[in-house]
Parts: sequence; structure tokens; C-alpha cells
Amino acid sequence: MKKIFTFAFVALFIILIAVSRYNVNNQSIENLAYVIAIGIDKGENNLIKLTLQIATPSSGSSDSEGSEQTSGATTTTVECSTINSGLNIINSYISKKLNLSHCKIVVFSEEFAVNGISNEIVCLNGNVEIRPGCSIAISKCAAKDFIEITKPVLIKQTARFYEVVVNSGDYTGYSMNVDLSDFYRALHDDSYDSVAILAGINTPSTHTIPNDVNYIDIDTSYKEGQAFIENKNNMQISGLAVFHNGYLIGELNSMDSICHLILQNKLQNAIINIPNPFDNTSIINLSLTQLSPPNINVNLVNGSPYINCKIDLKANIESLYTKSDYSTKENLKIISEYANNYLESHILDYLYKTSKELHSDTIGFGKYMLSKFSTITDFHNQNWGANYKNAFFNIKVNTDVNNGNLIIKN
Amino acid sequence: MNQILDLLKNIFVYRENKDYEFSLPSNTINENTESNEVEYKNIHPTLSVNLEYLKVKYNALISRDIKFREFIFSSHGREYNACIVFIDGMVDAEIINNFILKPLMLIDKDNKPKTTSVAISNNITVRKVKKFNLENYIFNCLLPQNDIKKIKEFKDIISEINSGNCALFVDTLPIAFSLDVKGFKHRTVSVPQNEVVVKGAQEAFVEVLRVNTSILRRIINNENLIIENTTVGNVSKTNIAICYLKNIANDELVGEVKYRINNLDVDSIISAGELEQLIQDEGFTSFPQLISTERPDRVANLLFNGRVAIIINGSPYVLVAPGILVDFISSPEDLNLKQQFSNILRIIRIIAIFFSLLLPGIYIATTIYHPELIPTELLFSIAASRESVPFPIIFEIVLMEVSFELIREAGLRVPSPIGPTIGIVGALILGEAAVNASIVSPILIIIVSITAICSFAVPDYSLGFTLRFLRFIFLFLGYISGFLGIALGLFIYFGILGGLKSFGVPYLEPYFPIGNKDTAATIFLSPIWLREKRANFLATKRPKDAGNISMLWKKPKD
Amino acid sequence: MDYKKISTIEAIALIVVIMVNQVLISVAKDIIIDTASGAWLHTIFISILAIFLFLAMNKLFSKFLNLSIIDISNFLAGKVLKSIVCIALIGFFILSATIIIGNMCRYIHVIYLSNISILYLILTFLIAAIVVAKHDITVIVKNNLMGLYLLFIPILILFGVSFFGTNFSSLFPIFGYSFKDTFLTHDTNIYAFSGLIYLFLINPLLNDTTKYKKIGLISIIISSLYLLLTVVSLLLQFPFSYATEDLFSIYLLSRILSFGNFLERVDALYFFLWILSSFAYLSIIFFFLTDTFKQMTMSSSRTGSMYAFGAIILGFVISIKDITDLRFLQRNVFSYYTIALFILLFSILLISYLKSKKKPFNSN
Repeated sequence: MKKIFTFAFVALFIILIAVSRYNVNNQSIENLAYVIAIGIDKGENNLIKLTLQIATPSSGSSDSEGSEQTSGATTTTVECSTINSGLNIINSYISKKLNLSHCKIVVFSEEFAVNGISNEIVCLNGNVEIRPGCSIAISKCAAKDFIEITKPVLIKQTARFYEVVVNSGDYTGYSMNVDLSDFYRALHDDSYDSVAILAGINTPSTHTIPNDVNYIDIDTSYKEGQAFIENKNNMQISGLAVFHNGYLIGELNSMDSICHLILQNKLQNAIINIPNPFDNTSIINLSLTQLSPPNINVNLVNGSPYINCKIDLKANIESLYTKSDYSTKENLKIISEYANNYLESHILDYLYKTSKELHSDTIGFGKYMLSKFSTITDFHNQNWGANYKNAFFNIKVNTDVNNGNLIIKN
Repeated sequence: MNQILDLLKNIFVYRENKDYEFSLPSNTINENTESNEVEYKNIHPTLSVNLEYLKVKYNALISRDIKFREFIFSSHGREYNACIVFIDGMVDAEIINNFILKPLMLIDKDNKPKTTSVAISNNITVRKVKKFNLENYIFNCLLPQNDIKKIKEFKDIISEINSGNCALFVDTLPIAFSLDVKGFKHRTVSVPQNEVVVKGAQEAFVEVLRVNTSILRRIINNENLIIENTTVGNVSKTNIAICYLKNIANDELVGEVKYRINNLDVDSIISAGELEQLIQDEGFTSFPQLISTERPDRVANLLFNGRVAIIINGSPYVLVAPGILVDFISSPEDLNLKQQFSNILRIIRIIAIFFSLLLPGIYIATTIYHPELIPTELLFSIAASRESVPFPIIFEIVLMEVSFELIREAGLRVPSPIGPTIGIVGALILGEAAVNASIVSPILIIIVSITAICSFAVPDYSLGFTLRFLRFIFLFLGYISGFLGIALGLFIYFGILGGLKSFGVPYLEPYFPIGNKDTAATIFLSPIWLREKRANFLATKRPKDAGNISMLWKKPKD
Repeated sequence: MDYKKISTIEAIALIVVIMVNQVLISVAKDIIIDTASGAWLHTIFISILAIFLFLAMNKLFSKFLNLSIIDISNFLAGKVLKSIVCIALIGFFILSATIIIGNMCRYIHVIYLSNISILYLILTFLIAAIVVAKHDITVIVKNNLMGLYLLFIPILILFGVSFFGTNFSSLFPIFGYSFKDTFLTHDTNIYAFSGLIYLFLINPLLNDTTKYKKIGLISIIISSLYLLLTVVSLLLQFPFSYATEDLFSIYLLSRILSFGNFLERVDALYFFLWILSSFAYLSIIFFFLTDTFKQMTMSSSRTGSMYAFGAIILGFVISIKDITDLRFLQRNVFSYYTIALFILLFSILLISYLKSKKKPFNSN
């Protein structure tokens, strides 16, 4: 036993001497600059324009609590050829060493994303520091502007703000949080394509009403930045950006996002408007929840995919109008039929839009094809990615309508 | 130079392992050895038979506190052999001398039998003597005592002796007298100072050996309790008593304890702490290997489990061997509580052990090497709090830990009226001022205080000490290489624990290796009615300490 | 109970920790690279193969309770064969130690301690293994069991999370690249069960040799379940169609784990547990290494040779420059070496069995 102690002591002594050559303290937490958001834009001369938002932690009890100016973060921008060299340049002029381990969101500008982001995604995914849970967002405007103009409201810390705001799709359905690992996985998988959060600045100049949209659909037809919002954080997250092989190829609005969530079995809660069967002048609000996973069946008919979906949803009626009556089974059944038709047509719209227009299998129907083949070579031979644009869809929606109000009959 | 060579030799040259090793034998159960002894139920008229039987029962040759005083008293012209039996330390010697021995031994020798009538026939005088009953005579005339019982059966009289009474046996009488001469040293027995419990006995051992043995006798109340005397110390000749239950404790364990104590070549032994260091298995680890307690009820419990207690004259602490890790995280209170409560308490204690050992090390490892592990907001608040602190984290934390140890030591050493002042000055004023002056960060104060509180929650004083000492090693390991260093430390630490044995019992029993867990010696107690076995690592002679159904009232026999 | 020998559960843990460490050195990922989505079928197949091999071993060992393969080779053909077996075993142990230390040190170097020289990391591993391996086998297995207990719940959480809510379509197409790839070409992957080699040696250490069959079966089943769960989790979480190769695949799996917004990145804790388990594995290797050497040279103690072997392994690990060298060593050297060693030991056992059938075995 004594020998063991002597041995351990000598060994520790050697290690101590070895380690003391390195200045360990430069690493300790107060000497690091924590990046909370990364923005990537297209720069001049094929360069990328890297914007970092760095947290400036300050003691909570100090004076500058009320003022809007200190959002607890500062931004810096550099033009560089790769992300890693850009980080090095930034390290050379800021006073602390950058650390990406608490990065919450990576924003690509639309302009940059159409030229492909797979290199950047692979680079970020291979980085030891960045978490795989970091969100991927595409902004209509420049990523630099998005990061600089967006101000956290209601939440003091910017990092926390990003964390919460990208998850708002959980209770609105208007968007969906896509993280780095999801995106990377879809990038490498032949059987489905990736989507990303669609985010943007919302100022009066960006407000637009989408063309030829029925007034019923207007709330859910906005994409980022379009809705008429007056808020101090100047941003809106709504809709999804669709990718194919790492290239941005299209955008989806809020309603498409809800359909996407339904088909992916990820819908937690969303409010949609359907026409009122009893009164042409008013709308019924339904709060949708997934009742069971959608039953999806994919077959090849004459070489083109034939896709059957059976969807079960639970819908709570949220709205009342002056003469509403939800007390009879018949009325609920009528509303349910309206809702089914409404959802079926929108889901079909969404599916044909992705398959015919965008050629992108965002739902991952290709995964359901995998079990139809016995080897990977067979699967690759039928070339799902190219074949998906020939797909036919058959959607059957069944909503279980309930009254979600305190009053049943008015 | 030579020293360096020695060191190198120590490390690199093979030496045969000459360490003394003792292992408890395999779990053979010697069934009750008493069965072949002659069992008497009733007291025999012949005194010598009774005494022989009692001496065997009480192992009088080795148990030195059982006293047999034989004497002769005469009555009505006849001499009777008699004997009193009592346990030294439990009786009042004055009462025995003045009110038992004096009246019996000093009665008038000429106390002739009274003649009621005399008839002479054929030159033979026939005296009709008044019918004389010795039993009544002693009871009525000779024992000026307020509480006397006539007892016919051995088990009753043994119980009376055990509870501190004196038994009087007289030749020719098939009964014994139980005389109330209880005389405990009440003055010196006080409330335990350092092992305080809420629900439980409130008496502690004292410095006098005989008093301590009498307390044990009183609690255990069984003739199988053996109290052997021996002395240690060439000069001091300190009296030491080795106590065990003859029908439970493993003979080899008892033999090992006696062997170690009898083979000490030291000049003096003053306290239990000294003896503990002399007889423990492994001298170089800081882990306690013998239970040291001041509570008689705890010792009694451990004796019933089959362990061996060592009482040292002059020390209020009693050592119990063997002591394993589980013993040091359990408090005497646990057995008095319902098992749900005591299990919750034990979980809390395990958390306390974990924190007091590792918290500073983990803090420094995460802040230097693994900042991504800390949740973002917490990280920002730690970083903000360290913003204006001039020292590196390692210096800051060592500074605080050392000053905390200083406060603790100073608080112990100063006269008790000033004690709280040190605490207030140290903890409140100093901590507050250090934070305000930006010398340490408030987060660190929290870390150090949690560590300190956790180290107080460890029930055993020696184990607490060990953890406090090892904490600095883990702090250092975390500083030089983060979680890798802590993993290295823990691995070696587990290795040392795994190799440790206390009197032949592996230290991590009953988990590594796996033993039975329906005993009191486990981390998580089962309900008391299921705790029907004794720990098998003690290899006791009675493996069960309760029936299969201990609550017989629930299942009455038809 | 004999405190000098190891109990059944400790022996099982001893074999299981070998598989835990095989997964650490990317055996699961190798299987996926070889057989793509057929990897889970492949794993089940080689597990069944391993179980049958063990059952055969057990049948042959029934004549030689209490004996290790070294004693048996001595019985069969005297000292020459015994020395050959011992040297082959020593080579196996040195290779295993080199691969696990080399891999773990590179992981740590890349992921956490990039500013500490890799030499000191290697030394840390050797120190940990040697300090504990100087003890008895009982201490080593206790340590190992403790490490496995610590690993048990986190690893189940890891598997549970990667199973939860995922679409099992990633397990198809069922035969991966082809039927032949899944069941024939890559059967050398059975080297993942290198615990079988230790089962040749474990007999004299056991408390109760009649439990040998139980120990072997349970440990191989647990190991194969562990391997299967790892393979399936990796398949579910990472796409197969593009064969990415990564440094430390199970670490990537742990990175996706997060408990709400508070504990988002617990991979450092997993790393901590894996370091503990690799320490335990290393100390087991060191024990068997020095014990084999002790039996070969008939020396009185095994601690003497420990530093020498430590230095040899240090030299090996340092001489490996890159992770690609390590992967080569592992896939092309270690795997074939393990299989050849198994065949050697098994044939010795078989011949001795036949011999002892003719002439009953005399323990003297």
C-alpha cells in the first residue's frame, strides 16, 4: 500500500510539472467569449461574411437593468473565406477567446443559401464546440441584419430568447425547430430532404398581403416578415425553408408548416380557421392536436410513387359567435366534415407543391420505401430523389371535433 | 542520494509481499455449542453443583467481572456453605458488605437450637427441637433487605444477576435469594456529546472501564456476553476489555482481535484513538477501519450482530471491529426510525459524501475544461461573477477552502464562549467582505459552503476527515486535467477501497463482493421484520437473528 | 466464500466490460460501415455464432474444471506449447491495450484537452491501470463492477433516447449492401467478442467453477445485447446511405442527448464514465498480461513485470502517429490476430479433450 502511494505521488508530480508548462488559466470561463448566434451572408469576391453575436455577461444586480440598449450581447462581422479562418480573424481583435459551445442559432441569408450550404453545415457539424441542438434558420434579409436588429423582448438574455423563440412552433404550428443534427442527417440521407426555420425581420416595409388568398386563410398564409406586426423585437419566425441536396429551393408558409408538422407526427398545437358551415360571414377557429401518428403507405405504381396517408386529428372548437350551437352531434359532424375537407385540400396543396414544384421530399416518404427493398443497391437503383416529383397522393383526414369552450350553445 | 535510490528501489524492484493478511474463514456455521452442556432447570440443593453450573454459564474463568464470594455461616449450631454471586460494577459493594455478608457471617455462633422439650429414656436424651426452617430463617431474620425474592429456576436467577442483583446460594436449599443491591455509577454516565440522536437512548460511555462493562451487561442482559480483561502497555498497563457474545461472534474474529491486542509492544496506551491506529489492518489509508462510538446502545446492537467490542479504561470511546464502509455512513438513529425515513436519510448522506468529496473538483474541472456542460444562463452568471476577480480559479478556491478549514479549526480550539464569534466573524463578515471587495466570486462562496455543510452531514468523524483531506486531491486533479483527472482519482480511490479489509472483512461488503442484504449492515435497510439475518461476512454462529415470521401475532397458530 | 477468488457476477462484469470497450473503439461503427442497414442482422448473427463457440468451449472445458488454457497446453505438450500459447496471449493483450489507450487518448486530445501533449494522456492511462492492477484480481473486478454499475443507467438513457420517437425505417433495407455482405464476407467482425479469449483463462480464478457455463452465456448475451443496442441506436440516429466515418461514434450519439433546456450537453459526463470503464478494462488487461507472463516464466510475482510491459505499451502507443494507423491496426491486425488466437486456443483445447478421453486426465 505504501508503494502504491509513493508511486501515485511520483506520477502526479510528473504530471503536474508537465501540465504547468501550459497556461491552463487562459481557458477558464471568464476568459472566453461565448458566441450565441452565428450569421452567414454572401460577401464580396466569393467570400463569406461571418457575423457573430457574443454574449456580454454582466452581474444581474447591477444598474443597467431597465435600459433597452444592453441586450447582453454584442455583434461583430468579418469577411473571410471559411468559417474557421473567420473565427481566427475575430479572435485576433476581440479581447477574449471565442467559444462556440453555447451557440443557439445559425442564420443563413436566403441569398447565401440558394448557392448551397452543405459545406458550412458539414463544417459546423464536425466542430467539437457547436452543439448538435443548435437551430438552423434561413433569413430573407441579410443574416447580419437579422442578428443585429432582433432584440429580445420579455426575456433578458439573448441566448435564452433564441432558445425559446425557435420553439414557438410547438404551440403555434407556424414553424418547426430544425437543429443542426437533423439538418445534417437529412443532407446525408437519400430518402428525405431537409427543411430549416424561416425567419426574418418584420418592419412596416416588409408587410405584404399574399396574392389571391381567401380571407379565411390569410392568418396562416404569411411567411416570415409579411404579417402586420408591431413589436419591439422586430422579427418573425413563420414558415419553413425547403432544401434539396443542400440548396435552398423554396419556402413554405405557415399553413404548409402546419401540414408538414401533421405529416411528420410533430403537431402539438395549432390554431387554424375553417369556414363556418352555419354562417358565411364568420369563421370557426379549431385548435388541432395530433391524435395518432399518420398512417402512411407508399407504393410504386407503374414506376411512380403512390402515397396513401390516413391522418387522425383532434380538434377543439375555440371560437364562439352569436348564434353558435355545438350541443348536437350533427352540428359537430358537419364542422368535422368541413375541417376534413379544408385540411385535405391544404395538405394536398402542400404535397404537390413540394413534389411537383420543388422536387423535394421534405416529409421523408422515401423512408417508407426502404422496407420495400432488400438491399441498398436496389433502393439506389430506383432513384427516389428524382422519382419523387412523379408522386401521386391520396390523403384522408379524420378530425375528432370537440367543443373547447366554456359555453356549448349560445 | 541514498534516499532517491531507495525511492527508486521502492518503486521498481520487486519485493515479496510480506504484509500480514487475515481473512475470515468461509461461512461455516458451528451450530450451538451449548447443546451438549448439561442444562439445569431448577436450582440444585447442593451448592457446589449450582456454582459449577453458574461458572460455566458465565464463563467465569475468562469473564472477570463476575464475582463469586464463598463463605460459611452457622446457624443453630450448624455450619452452612453459602455463596453470593454478583457482577462487579453493577452492585453497591457497601450494601453487600454491610447488609449481606455482615449479618450472615457475624451471627452468634452460640445460637443454639431452642429445645422445646427433653425426654430421657434409656440414658439417651432425646431433645425435641423446635421445628427449624432455614429458608424462612434466612429470609425472615438474617437479611435486612427491603427487596428479596426466592427463586427456584436458574434462568430467573441469571436474569436477576444480569440486572444487577446479588444472588445468595446456600447449601441444602433448592432455592436462591435475589437481593436488590443495584448500585450503578449514575453520576458519571451522561448524555452523549458527539453522537446525538433524537429517538434513542441518551446515555454515553464514561472513562471507567467497569462502569462501561456494567452498562453493556445491563443492555445485553445475557449470560453469553463475555467480557475478557487484558492489559496493554509495558509501562501503563492499561486495562482493556474485549466483549463479544459467545454464541454469536465468530471465534476466529474474536481470536484475531485478541491476537492483535495481546501482541502490541508499546509503553503506553491512553485512548481508543491510539489503540485503533495500532490494531487496524491498513495503516496508510485514511479510511476508518474500526467503529468508534460513545453510545452503549450502538455497541450492543453491533455485538448482537456478531462483532467484537474493545473497551479501553480511560477512554469514553469504544472500538468495534470490524468496521466497514456501510457502518460509517449509518447513524445509530437509523435503526430506531422506520426504514423509509432512514433510507431517505442515507440517500442524503450519500449525496453529502459525494459533494464533500467531489464538488470543488467538479467545479474547477467544468469551469476550466468543460464549460459546455454548464447550462448557458448559469455559465453566464458564473462568468459575470468572476468578471472582476483578480485570481485564477484554482487560487481562489484553494484560498477559500483553506480559510474555511482555518475557521473550523479556530472555532474548535478557542474557549467555548468565543467559539460562535469566530464563526460569525469568519463566515459572515469575512465572506461578505471578500465578495464585496471582488476577491472571490459569490458562486465560489456557495460552492465552498455547500462542501462544508456536506462534510458536516457525514455521520462518522473520521470518515468526514478523510473526505475533507481527499477533497484537495480531487481539486488538484480536476485542475490539471478536468474530468480525466477526476476519473483517474476515482479509479485509484475505488481501487484502494476495494483492496481494503477490516479484520478480514472486505471494506465494501455487502456490495463488493455481494453478500446478503437482509441485514442491518446495508446502505438501504429493508423493513425490520424482513431483516432476519445476520450479515454473512461476519460468519456468525447464529446466521439468523429473527424467525422467518418475526411478528408471530400476525399469524397466530391455530 | 473465498475472498481470493471472484464471484459469478464479478466474472460476468469482467467479460461485459470488454464489449463496452470494444464499442468505445468504434467496433459498432465498423460493423455499420461493412454492412450498412443490415448491421443489426449481422450483429445478431455474429452474436449467435459467438454463443455457439462458447457452448463448444464449455463442453470441452468440462473435463478441465479449475484449469486455464495455459495449464491445459502444458498438459498437452509440455513447456514448448505452453510458451507459445503464453507469447501469443501476451501479444494479444499488448495489442488490445495499445488500441484502447491509443483511441481513448486521441479522443480526449481532440475533444477536450487539445493543449496537453498526448504523451501525458497516455501516461495517465498507464498509471491508472498499473496502480490498480498491482492489487489482486478481486480488487480489479470490484473496481470494474463498480464502473459498470455507474455506466448502467446512463447508457440505458442514451439508448432509450435514441430509440424514442424515431422511425424504425432506418433499419431497412434488411440486408444492407447484399445478403453475402451481411452473413458471409464480414464475419471476421466476431473479433468484437474478444471476451471469449478471456473465458479461456478465467477458470482458475472462479469461486465456483460449476457456474462457468452460466458466466459465459450471460456475459456473452449481455455483451451482444449491448453491441446490438449500440448498432441499432447508431443506425437510427445517423443515416447509413452515405458511409460517414467518425472519430468516436458513440460520443456523437451522446451529443444529441439533452434534458430540456437546462442540461443540454451531458456528453462530458458520458466521457467521464467511458474513461472509467476503459481504466477498468486496461487494468484487467494488465492483470492477465502479467499473470500470463508470471505463469510462463514461473516467477513468484507479477508486479515486477508490470512496469516493463507498461513501457512496451507506451512505446507502441507513441509510435502510432495517427488515428488512421490505429484503425488499420484494429481492423487488419487485431481482428485477424484475435481470430487466429481463438483458433489456436480452441484447437489445443479440442486435442486435449480428445486426449483426455482416451487417457483420463490426471491433475498432477
